[in-house]
Amino acid sequence: MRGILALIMLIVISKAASAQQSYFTCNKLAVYLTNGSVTIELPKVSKEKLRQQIHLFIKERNYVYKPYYSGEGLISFRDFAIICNKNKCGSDLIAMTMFHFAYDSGFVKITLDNEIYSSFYGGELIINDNDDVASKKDVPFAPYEFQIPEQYSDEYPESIYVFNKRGKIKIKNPDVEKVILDFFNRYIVDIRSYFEQ
Amino acid sequence: MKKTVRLFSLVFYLVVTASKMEAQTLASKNTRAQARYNKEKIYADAQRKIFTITNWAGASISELLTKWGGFTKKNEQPNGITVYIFENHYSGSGGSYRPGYVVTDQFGNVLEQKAAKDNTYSYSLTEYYEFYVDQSQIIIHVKTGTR
Repeated sequence: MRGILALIMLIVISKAASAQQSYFTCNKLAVYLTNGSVTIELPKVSKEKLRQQIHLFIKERNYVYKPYYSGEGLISFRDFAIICNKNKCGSDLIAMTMFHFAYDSGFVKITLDNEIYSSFYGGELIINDNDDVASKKDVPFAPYEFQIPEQYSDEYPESIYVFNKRGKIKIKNPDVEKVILDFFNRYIVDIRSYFEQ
Repeated sequence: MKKTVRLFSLVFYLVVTASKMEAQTLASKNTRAQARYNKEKIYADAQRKIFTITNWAGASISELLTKWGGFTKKNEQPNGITVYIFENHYSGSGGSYRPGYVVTDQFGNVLEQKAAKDNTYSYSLTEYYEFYVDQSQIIIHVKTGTR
């Protein structure tokens, strides 16, 4: 009996632990931090030391520092990276993610904005220092559609959800949802491990 | 004989209907695919226009001023950022006004009437380009739009 109870406890704990790993939620419109932000407690680390560490992190990861959005106690930077390719997701998906690190002695609070682009026709996307995106040779591309009408299901193989004329929404692409969530989760896991080490 | 004709008609009807439906499905599928292409082409072209302007981010303001000439106004913000603003004003009017009329007889009974038709319009808008420049004279952000 004790063994069974211990097993149940173990399952519950492991489920809770794995559920905690997902920092993001993906719905029909966007992917976002479930709690709006993630705070990393770093006791005994001074504000100045944190400022230096954040700048070092940006440099080491080849992210782009954004002075326009930064200020006193706030450092912003962005990444522009491929989430997955057409073979796996039905279209090339590329994310522009803008991170905002609000920091003070002992903590860093992370918030972020993102825009996902879908390049279905194979165009290579480029980004400028103003964070605007275009495609080489102006090959068609667009912001990613999380949901599309049911009758467009074949034309948008990368979309996660479809909805019918009655507005009923169903998931058609759970794999793509997982790929997107995993992609964004990796950022937070990486940040945590960098600053908590 | 009648049975054979009926059967033949039914088979013929089914074949024609099936091929018609297939053709329709194919046509609408092509239309949907084309619709996606068109929509995304418009987006890509629009993004290119924005991209070309905002590509000035990272360049020096003196380089921009050499190419664009004088700015409309300049604001200095408390955080040390200077905003150079270029504006273009557009305004105009057009359309036509056709007055209405009422025709009455000698007793005041309305014989014919027509309401006035006003198709006149006017517009006034300002296209703006804002270049945010840091203390090292580098453009760190560009905003563009109309107001």
